[in-house]
Amino acid sequence: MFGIETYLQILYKLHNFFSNLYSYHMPKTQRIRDPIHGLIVFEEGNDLDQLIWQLLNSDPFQRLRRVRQLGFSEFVYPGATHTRFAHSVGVFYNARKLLQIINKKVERFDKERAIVATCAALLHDLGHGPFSHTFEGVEKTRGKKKKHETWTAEIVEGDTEIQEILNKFDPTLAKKISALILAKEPTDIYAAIVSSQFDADRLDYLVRDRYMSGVEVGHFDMEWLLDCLEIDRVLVAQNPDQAIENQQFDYVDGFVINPKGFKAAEGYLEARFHLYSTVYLHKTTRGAEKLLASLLSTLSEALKTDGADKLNLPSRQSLVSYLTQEDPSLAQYLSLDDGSILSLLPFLQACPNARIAELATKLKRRHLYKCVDIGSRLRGDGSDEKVRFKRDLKEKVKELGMEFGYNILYDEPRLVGYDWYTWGEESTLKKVLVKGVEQNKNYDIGDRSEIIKALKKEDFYRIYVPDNEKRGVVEAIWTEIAKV
Amino acid sequence: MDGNSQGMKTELVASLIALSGGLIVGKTRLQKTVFLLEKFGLESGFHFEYHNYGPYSADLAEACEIATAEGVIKAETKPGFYQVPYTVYSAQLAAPAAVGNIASDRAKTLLAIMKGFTAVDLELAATMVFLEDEGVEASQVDAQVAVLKPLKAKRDNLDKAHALLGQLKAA
Repeated sequence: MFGIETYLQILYKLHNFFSNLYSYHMPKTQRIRDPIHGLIVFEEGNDLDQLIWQLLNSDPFQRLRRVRQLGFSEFVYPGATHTRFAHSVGVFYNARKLLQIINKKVERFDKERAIVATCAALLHDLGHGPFSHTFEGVEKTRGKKKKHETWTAEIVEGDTEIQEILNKFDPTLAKKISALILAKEPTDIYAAIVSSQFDADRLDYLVRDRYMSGVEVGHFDMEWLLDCLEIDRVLVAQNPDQAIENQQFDYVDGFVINPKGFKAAEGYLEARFHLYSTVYLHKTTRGAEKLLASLLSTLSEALKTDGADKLNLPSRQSLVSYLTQEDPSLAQYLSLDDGSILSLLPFLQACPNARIAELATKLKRRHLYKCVDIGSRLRGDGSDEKVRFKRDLKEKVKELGMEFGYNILYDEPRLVGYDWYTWGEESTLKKVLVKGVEQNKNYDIGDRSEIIKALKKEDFYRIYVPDNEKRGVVEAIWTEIAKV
Repeated sequence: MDGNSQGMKTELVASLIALSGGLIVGKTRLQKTVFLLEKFGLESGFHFEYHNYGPYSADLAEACEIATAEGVIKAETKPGFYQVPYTVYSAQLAAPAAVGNIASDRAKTLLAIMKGFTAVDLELAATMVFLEDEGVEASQVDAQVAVLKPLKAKRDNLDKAHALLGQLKAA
């Protein structure tokens, strides 16, 4: 009688109605134990704490319990099964700490902006899909341009429990939060809590991901670092991607570090470099992500051509239903989590589409493609060899009837030592600036630290193949390139 | 022309730089120039998505890398504000008959107009066009640009971006 979308919407409305009825909010002091930050208390008499507690208990936020923070990193570091929920609570805690610093340092503390920044920090990851960035990549191959920040803004402003809670607190709040989440340029010190070199997000994930993955690299002195944070007017180039004489400038309040924090800031940047290298960009993790992307893209195509019934897949299963829609609704997006993918794997293994069955089996059994690390072999700046290798590989793949995205996958992440936001997508507020003697005369840590200068960028270039035969094809191409 | 070969794409980038007086300063400017030319029939085959500085194409960035490696264009990196590197692209080619699907004379006119505006103006104009393509109503575009770019979206900057789009359409 109803289409799946109508069915989901009705279910969602009913759920909201009953949860509102059930969870009439009685202010009460609440506590969370966190492995990183210890005891996090939400005070009864504090309006903002009580608002945050209500948001934590909303349906869209509880969904984050079912989205792992590091996706497939668990394939390499079995302890890294922590969720976006735990991380988001940690980000809230850091935002609170950063606001205490701001409160001490500014002449006039803007309570309203502080509320917006705290909520934005807590809610910043709401829009992550299953397996986070992997799903975003799959959406891109399906021609869907919406990124997780846009989904987050829609969840905050759309017809959701989050928006209802925010509206009850202040009818203008949801719009202000989504604007702060979407903004690509920090405008004041409160925005720096959500996006800057020392934002609440980064200050949580670097510590949490290190702890949960169990790696011993990447430690830094967070307490000292925070104690050395100062606020200063920072000169910002509107478009750094130009010669200095052609720049347009603005002054914005930002975090800078006082000279006593120089070493702690070095440690912080070094920690980030090591974590990216050992955890986030680990070849096996990235290989698993590529395999999942391949599986989901293949599934999406097959659903388009054959439909769920022909593939023996349950059409009302959240992922199947989502991928079948040309323009999925917010409710459908919110029905997705890591479980949507993992619970579908046995169905996919039994699916009559051989390619889907094969990829699903590989993923479920962790029989991943093998990595041929071409990037580490490139000589000089590598660009010339890489271009030739890519060209030859493309020709060979065509000649042998192989297929990119199925039996040959590739990955090209960039690890940048300090200029994290690269190719000129850089802003002064993303730099670590150390407070100079005169006001507004700050210097870049990269100019004075030999350690930071030594953190070189690395362009990874990895090919993933399912078997030794295809590995041989890739190796033979490289052998020819290396001869020149 | 979505199926443009890599060779055609690198040639297109080189032609575009050549017709722009042999020089384009900055990756942002190059990206936004190509994006805006798409609206005037370039049909480059590059796929754009929203990035920090507005519409951005990873394919175009790759084509630039390939063109540089093959020596079709030059990409010189210089230290800018706070040592943030910026890139100067140059190409010396005999004037091509066309760039993509745009005749060379018309492309030259459009490129000359864009040269008269700053990279920030181009970024704002490209963002406006991108948002309209995404279904944002024309009356809401400026407000949405202000959400994404609160620093740059000052009235005079927005006016200049509109002026740029107006001049391009009139050309």
